[in-house]
Parts: sequence; C-alpha cells; structure tokens
Amino acid sequence: MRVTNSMIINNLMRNLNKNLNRLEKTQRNLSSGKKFVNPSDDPIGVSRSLRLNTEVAAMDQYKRNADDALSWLSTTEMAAKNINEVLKRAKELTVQAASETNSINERLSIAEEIKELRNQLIHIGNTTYAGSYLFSGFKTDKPLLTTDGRYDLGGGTNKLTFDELIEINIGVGDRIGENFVGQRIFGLYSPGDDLNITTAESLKQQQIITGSYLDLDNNPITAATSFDITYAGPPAVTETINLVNVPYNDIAVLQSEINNAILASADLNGHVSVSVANNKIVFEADGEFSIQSGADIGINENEKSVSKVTTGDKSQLIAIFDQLIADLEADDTEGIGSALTRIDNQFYNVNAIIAEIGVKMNRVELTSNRILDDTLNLKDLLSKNEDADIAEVVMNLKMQEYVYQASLSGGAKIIQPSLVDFLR
Amino acid sequence: MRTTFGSFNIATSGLFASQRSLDTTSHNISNANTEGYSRQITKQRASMPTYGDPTGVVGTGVETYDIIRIRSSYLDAKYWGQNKTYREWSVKQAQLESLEGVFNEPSDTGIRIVMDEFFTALEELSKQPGDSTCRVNVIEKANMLTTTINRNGYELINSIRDVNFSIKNKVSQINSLSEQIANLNKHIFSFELGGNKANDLRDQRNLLLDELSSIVNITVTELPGPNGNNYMDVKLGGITLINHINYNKLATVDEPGEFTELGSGKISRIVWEGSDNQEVSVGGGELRGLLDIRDGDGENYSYRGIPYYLNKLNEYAKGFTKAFNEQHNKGIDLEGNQGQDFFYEPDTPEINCINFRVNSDIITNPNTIAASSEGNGESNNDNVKLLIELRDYKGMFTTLIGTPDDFVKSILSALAVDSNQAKRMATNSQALADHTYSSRLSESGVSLDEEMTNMVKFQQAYNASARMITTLDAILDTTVNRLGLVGR
Repeated sequence: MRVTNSMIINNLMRNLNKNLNRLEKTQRNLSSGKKFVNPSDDPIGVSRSLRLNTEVAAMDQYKRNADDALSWLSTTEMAAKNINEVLKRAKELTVQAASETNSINERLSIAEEIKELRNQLIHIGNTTYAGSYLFSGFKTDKPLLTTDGRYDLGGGTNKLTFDELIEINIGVGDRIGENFVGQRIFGLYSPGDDLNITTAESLKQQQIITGSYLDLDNNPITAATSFDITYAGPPAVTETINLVNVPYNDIAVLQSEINNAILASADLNGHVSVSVANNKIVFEADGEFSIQSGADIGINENEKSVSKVTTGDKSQLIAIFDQLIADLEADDTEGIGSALTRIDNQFYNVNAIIAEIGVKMNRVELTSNRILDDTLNLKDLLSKNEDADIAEVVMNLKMQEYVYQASLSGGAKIIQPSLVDFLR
Repeated sequence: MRTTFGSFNIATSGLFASQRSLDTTSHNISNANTEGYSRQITKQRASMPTYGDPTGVVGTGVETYDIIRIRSSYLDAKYWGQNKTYREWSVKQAQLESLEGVFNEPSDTGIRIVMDEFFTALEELSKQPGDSTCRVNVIEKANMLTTTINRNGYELINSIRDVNFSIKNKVSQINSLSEQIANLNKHIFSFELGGNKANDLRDQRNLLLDELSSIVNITVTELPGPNGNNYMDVKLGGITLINHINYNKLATVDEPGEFTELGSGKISRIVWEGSDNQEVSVGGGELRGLLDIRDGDGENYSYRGIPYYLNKLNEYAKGFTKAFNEQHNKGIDLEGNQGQDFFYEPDTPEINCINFRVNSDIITNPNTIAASSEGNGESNNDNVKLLIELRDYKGMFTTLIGTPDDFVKSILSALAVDSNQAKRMATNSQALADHTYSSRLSESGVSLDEEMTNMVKFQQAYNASARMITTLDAILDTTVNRLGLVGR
C-alpha cells in the first residue's frame, strides 16, 4: 500500500484521539468513583442502580417509622406499667381496708388515697407522646377521659371505635398498629352492669373484639324492619338483615331469625354469631364488626360494646374505683371485699395488654434489625453495581497513560523525518 | 541526412519536459496539506519520430501531453455512502447524550429522587397526619416532583425547537453547497472543452460533495455529454438536486399554527422549492439524524426521538395525577370534607408534563390533604397508607404495566439503550468511513518522499539535458570555428 504523509498524520490523529478518549473515560471513573456517569455507559447497571437507590430510600424510611413506632410503644408500655402500679397500690389499700378492725376514720383516709389513685389513672389515660394523646385512637388531639372518669374525646357525640388503629409501614406490606384504644384498658360501664365481668376482659379473650348487644328490655321491637351487619373481614362485607315478623314478643324467635340470616350469608357465616344472654341479643365476631340499624328502630341507642365508646360513656376501671370510694366512705365492708376481685380482673386485663405491647415492641425491634441488615445488603449491592473498583481503574489508567504517551512519542518520530531532511 | 541544429530541439524538449515535471512536483509539494487535493502527474512520451532517414526512424525527443490527477471515483462514492451513516449516528449520539443530561440520572436531582422524597413525605405524614409541618412537607415535595417533571418537559420542548432550527440551517447549507457545486460544474465544463481535465477544480468539487454527503444521502453520476464532455448529476432520494449547472433548491415549510407549549407548531418540513410542497425523502446524513430526533415518537417502528420521551413524560403526569387524585378523592381531609383533587386536573387540554402541578387549593390550605378514611380523628391515616400503596400500583399507565418507578426506569432504559446504540453505531460507521478516507489518502495523497525523489530525478534529467546542449555547443564550436583551418 502506498503510504502518504497526510494519511500517516490522519491516522495518528485518530488514534491519539481514541487513546485520549479512553484515558478521559477512565479518569472520569476515577474522579467520580463510579463505573458509569451516563445511562448509556451501562443501561442495565443504571436501571438497577435506580431500583436499589429507591429501595435504600424506602428502607431508611421504614427504619425511621420503626423507630417512631418503638418510642410510641414504649411510652404506651410505660403508661400501662404505671396503671399496673396504681392497681397494685389500690389492691394493698383495699386489703388493708377490708380488714374488719379498721375504724371508719382509717377507711376514710384510705378512701382519700384511693381517690388520688383514681385521679392518677385518669391522668395516665391522658398520657401524651409528642403532643399526641396515646389512648384516644385517631383523635390524638383529644384527651381520653374527663376528670369524672367519663370518655372525653373532645365532646359532642364523638366515638372511639376499635378500628382506630394507627398503623404505619415498617416494611413492604408490613404494618404495625402502634396505638391501643383507651377502652381496652378503661372499659365501658353502664349503671346496672356487673363490675366483675369486664368488657375489657372479654376483649382479651377474643383478641380484637367484642360483642354488640341488642337490648330488648322486655319490650317488643315494633318499628325495626332491617339492620346492617358490617364485618371488616377479610373479606369485608356489609349484610342487611331483614326482620319480617315484627313485632317480636319472644326474643328467641328474633334470635333464630337473625341467626338464619347470618348463616345464609357466605361471608358472615362462621365469623359472626348471635345468641341470647340476660334477655339481650348478643352479637359476637372473630374480627372487627359493627351493627348499624335504621334510625327508627332504636337499636343504635341500646347498642353497647367496647368496640365503640361515645363521649360521656363511663370508664369501667374508674367506675370500679368510684364504687370502692363510695363503699369506703359508706363503710360497706362487703362492697370493699368485692372490690378485690374486680381489681384482680383489671390486673389480668392490664397485664395482658402489657404483654401485647411487649410482643409488638419485640416485633418492631426484630423488624428494625432486619431493616438494618437489608439496608447493608442493599448498599453493598449498590456499591458493587455502581462503584468503580479503584485498583482496577488505576491500573487501567496507568496502562492507558502509557499507551497514550507511547503513541505521542511514536507520533513525534513519524512526523519528523522525510527525504527533505537528508537532501543537501 | 540529419540537420545541423536538429539535435538542439531534442535536448530542449528534454529540458522542457523536466521543467514541466518539476512544476508538477512543486505543485504537489505546495499542496501536500491542502484538504481534498489529489496528487498530479505530468504525462510524457517520446515525440513523433521523423521518417525517411535511411538509418531508420529517428527519435525527436520528448513531449508532455497531459497532467492527470490520481483519484479513485470508486473510493469517493464509497466514502460518501459511509460518511452519511457516520454523520447520521454521530448527530443522534450527540442529541441523545444531551437528553441524558436533561434526565440527569443517576444523580441526586433526577425524577427518582424527587419521587422517593415525595413518598417519604407521605410516610412521615402517615405517622402524624394531624401535624401541619408534615402536611406542608408533603405539598413541598409534591411541588418538587411536579416542577422536576415540568422542567424536564420544557427542556425536551426546547430541544425540539433547537433541532428544528438546526434542520433549517442544514437545508440552507445544502442550498449553498448546491449552488457552489453547480458553479464549479460550469467552470469545469468550460475548462474541459479543450479535452483536458480541470484537476484542481475537480478536487474542490469533490470536497464540496464530501461536505454535502455528510448532510444528506446523495448519489453522484457523470453523464456523457456532447464532445465527450461529462455532465455531472447529483440525486437526493431519487430526485435531481444538481444537474450540471442547474440545481434544485430545498425549502422548509413551517407547520401552521403558533407554538404550543407541548412543542408542536412551526415545525418545519423539508420540501422541493416550487414543487407544490413535495416532501424531500432524506435517507441519511446529519439531516436524517436530526429529523429522527425531532420527529421520532417510537410508534410504528419509527425512531425514538424527543417526542417519544415527551409523550412518556405526559403519560407519566397523566397516569400519576389520575391515580393519585382518584385515591385522594376517596379520603376525608382534616376539616371533615371529602378530598379534592390533589394534583390539578384540567378539563382540556389533558394533563401533560407542562401543566402537571399541585392543586392550588391544596397549597393554600394544607388541611385539605385527605389523610383519613373517615373524619374520625386527626390521626386516621388510612387514606395516606392507600396513597403510599400507589407506589406499587401497576395499573396507572396505558403503555406499560408497572409501578411509577418502573415507568421512570423504562424511560431511562429506553434512552440509555438508544444512546448506547447510537454511540456504537457512530463508532462503527466512523471506523468504516475512516478506513475509506485513509484508502483515499493512500491513493491520492501527496507523499513527500516520493515528490523529493521525483524532484531529484527530474533535476538530474534537466541537468543531463543541459549538459547535452553544452556538448552540442562544443560540437558546433568545433564545426564552425575550428574546421577549415588547414593551410592557414
């Protein structure tokens, strides 16, 4: 092949440029510490890097969420333990007061201390964490209890229902309910209820819920034609129960009719049951549910369940203390004695809740640790994916520098001599 | 019988021939670095001998009869074909690289990070739905998301305008080149009427054709004309661009209508001037690259140019707005009202990457973020949780089943893969074009060594011819001055 000067120079320029390009790319890798700068450098790597970065960001967020849930839970645990302490002290005092040898004056002074304990309970019920009331469900801006032991919740006809569970994400599809609704500890009491059988305790046995009571008070229901049962599921369902034989004179007939309707519904059957107790229709379910009636049948008025408390409802825990104080002041030793069982029942309830908090905290801590591990793994992957191997890059850089210098000096050599230099 | 002074003519023809060759050598050396120059050679041959001498046919010296240039038209045609491909891809490479700059990933300012931050803000809100700081934070991050999409959209639209401007420039460049080439054709034709080649003008014309081939795909032929002279014909997409001394002009016709914020309007089509707007079919070169980048929307196997990415951004804004608003509407805000649209949703035009923004009512009153499922307390975060779940919702978009993250990733992957391909195609086609260019230089370029050797060769020949004259002079001296002195 014929070789001409401009061809040599052209080729030299092209190759120098190529070498310099390569050198520049390696230098960019070294200075940025990354394998790629533009998506086109490594389309798959960049796409993976985007996904990993997003996952790391999500993990960081889950970690923050878990930490927040943990402090919320530990504040709740502290409050529950305080209630436990109060109950312990109340029991000591009650045992002391139950002894027949005590005079009325001693019982009065014990009553004073019990009053203080009662107020302290209300105070604990209104515990806040970072300005939010712990036990008020979603209404974290409203206190739980008034000073007379009734549910406050901001007044009006506000309700606190069982499903007011503040859940936060601590993982993909993994949520933790960080709060406990107040009635699980403080219970619901209506005049005439048995203070021994705590509604709160029945919660403990059924985990989440509850019974809804349809109170007939021996009066036939006349206006009701239908009501709805809403069951949270899964699957969530709302069934309308039609009452065809209104009015009912026999509560058993009403019960069996409702029962048939429930059995007929595929989604309610096996989850919701209906029975008669104390001349009341009692609904029970294995999950969250509610009974909603038409406005004219008054079931709403008589509906009673710790799955829902309304402003003005009395706390059972406080009611027990109020009864104890009344008994002490009235010097009613029998009443004082029965308070012991009631307080014990509350003990069980609170301890169960403390245990539940412990379990939840444990779970959050485990999750938190797992998140840390995952984050480490992800960052490791991310680094493997996009970080340049410095040793390798430096080696490449040195090699390319050498090649570039060699081509430069080679260039200097070819450009120089031609026949011109040797002719006289 | 030889004539007395005939020998001078032979020697003189040698002097002249050597001088002519030295001139050519000098011309070559002078133009060693002239772009597009092809080396020339003076052709010489023994001149017509005399007949009739009893000794035989007697030589009469040398004559130079032509100066030719060494040039392969095969390599030229090959280079033009390869050059147009190289230029097309290098334009695409440059444009896609600047698009990568627009999307700016991986970085700390791209769409990914603002989306991460938006959802992080929602997570924080889920922990304290009643807290106004968290609410304002969500709005701020949503604003960041929308402005990032807006900014990307604007930059894409500006790129379309820039490319459109470049296309107009290229068209006028083609017209200017056509004019110059037609002009050169005229000169070349008149120079060559005498039968010789206008070497240097032809070199200039080839250089202009090189330039033209980098802009559009051309086919060049020389058609035989009268008197053995050739007419040159340049075709563009099968239609004559330059025919001898005439050339057809190209023109750009702007789309009717004003600029729209989505980039349409005033986009130029390339047509043959005076042909009732017949469109020019551009099959390669920088112009093809620019057209693909400006018009390619990726549909029907067309190239994925800027409109493709613009459409994707529009679809993102639309899908995200619809899905987010739908869920937000189901919620209840802090004041107990049904959730309004979180992102602004106009009746017409459709939501796109330019009008994508947070509803101004939400911005003025952060309490209107519908965090709860029912108005039963400030800490009800059920709707926020459902909003967060939208990040894993795969039914937002029509052209892709995937989450919003997947969608953004798919945009970037398409860009990365295309840009990578453009880079590779540019490198490969450049290697081919370079190789042909080298071959051309190898054949037509000036080799200084060769020219110096020739110089020595012709100088020596000149010296020898001159010495011949001295010798003849001496002979004549003998004949004229020294003969006939016998007996003096």
